[in-house]
Amino acid sequence: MDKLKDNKKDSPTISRRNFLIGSAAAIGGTALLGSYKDASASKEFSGWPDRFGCLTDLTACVGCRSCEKACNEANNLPKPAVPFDEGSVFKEKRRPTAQAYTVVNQYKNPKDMSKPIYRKIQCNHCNEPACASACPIHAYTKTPEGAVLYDPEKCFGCRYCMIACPFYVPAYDYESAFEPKIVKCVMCHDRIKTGGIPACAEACPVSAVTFGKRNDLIKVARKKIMENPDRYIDHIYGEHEAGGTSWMYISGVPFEQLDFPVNLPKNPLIEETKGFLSAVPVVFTVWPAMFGMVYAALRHREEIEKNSRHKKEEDRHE
Amino acid sequence: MKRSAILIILTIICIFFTASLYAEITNSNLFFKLDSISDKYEPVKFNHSKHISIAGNCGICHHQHGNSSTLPCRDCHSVSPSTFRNSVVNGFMSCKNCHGVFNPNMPGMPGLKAAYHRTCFQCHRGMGNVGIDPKGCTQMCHAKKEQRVSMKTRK
Ligand code: SF4
Ligand code: SF4
Ligand code: SF4
Repeated sequence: MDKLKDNKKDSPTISRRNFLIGSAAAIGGTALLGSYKDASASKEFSGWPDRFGCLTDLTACVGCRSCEKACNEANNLPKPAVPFDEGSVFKEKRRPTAQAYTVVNQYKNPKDMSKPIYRKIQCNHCNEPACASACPIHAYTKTPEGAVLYDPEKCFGCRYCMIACPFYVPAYDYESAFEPKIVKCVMCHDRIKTGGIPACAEACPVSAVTFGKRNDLIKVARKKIMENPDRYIDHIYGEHEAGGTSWMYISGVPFEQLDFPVNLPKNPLIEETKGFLSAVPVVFTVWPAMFGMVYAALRHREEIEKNSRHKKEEDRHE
Repeated sequence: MKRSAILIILTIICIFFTASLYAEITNSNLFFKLDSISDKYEPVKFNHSKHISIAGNCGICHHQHGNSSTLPCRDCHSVSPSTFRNSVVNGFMSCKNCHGVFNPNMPGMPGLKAAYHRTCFQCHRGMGNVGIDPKGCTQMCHAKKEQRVSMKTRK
């Protein structure tokens, strides 16, 4: 975090207008020069070999929210209105926000009604991040350590990444309307680079979030599933979804019951968004119209969510 | 005939041995103070004897790994009558010898904190609010530091 702040001081201030013009030119250039050859080369790249990841064991999580608290402290986020030892937040399904990079939601456990299932949500740090390929100014990078990072200095708030992310992760910081930026979990990149482990994984009392090399974690997950066939379903979520993610999950109930998107292709979404990227110059010629559509799409999605949330609440009341 | 006599004698020795070991551990009315996070919480006073009488079997907590890929007893406790008792009663082997600080290079081995909590939750999850509601943590085991202080000042 400190580093980010330092960067802020050093970098020259660019007006948003100039910046847009500059990046438009840059993108036009890369899109013209960058041919499909590059795109197919990236298809064969199977990822940094020693990259890290996390494995969330959804059968172990007890919903203590220690991870939320640890993340808040590690990222110097504002204190929440409701304290972290409050269970009433589970009444509704939450999503990561600019003030909380990770949230834990509660679900009914069909196997044992007295013990709910808890699902921790944060960025899954995709092997081939769709957010990164949708970003017109390349504000995102996939680091060799596995974390997908974004550069808040570059971000100008177009919110394409929000739409591209299959897990609805990047959140928009509405607080600073004049310096718009996207925010999300960074897998505690500063910590893992210096040999530490993510704050949330460290705080978890039951190691429901286990940090390690992605390859090792897949082995751990396989072993757990093999040795406890009654406890787990035979699926490691994130091993292949959307081309594979660094953050993976094992569960006792089918993932769709916990609101995981399950209709994702096995191939990275990047293959589809690549076409989108090369269409960017066109975007600039019809920029206002496109922006309007994005905005409308976002509003639409928020509307749908609001409605479904209301519906769920109504259902509960009945 | 001779072989079965030997077997019977061995069984009797075993029963005596286990019984005396069990008596020795239960009688010592052992309390453990678990205070690794005592900066945030009051130390947990863990009543070992009480847990033995409730669980009735060391294996419920200590060797619940329960599958072939974890260590068999003899890798930690030398299985000969003269030393086994010592190694168990005097705690020559403690949990943290294996479950130390979590090491990301061995993600299959839970750290001490996780190993403890997972063991406790086997029975305690669902007792009151433990493991159901975030407040449960402070209800049974981890009294918050301020809570204790305020209770004292109230007296
Ligand atoms: S989960 Fe979403 S935000 Fe995170 S890397 Fe994948 S596409 Fe990007
Ligand atoms: S990895 Fe770090 S930033 Fe991401 S949810 Fe965990 S604590 Fe927060
Ligand atoms: S700290 Fe661990 S057990 Fe607690 S809510 Fe987070 S993932 Fe679940």
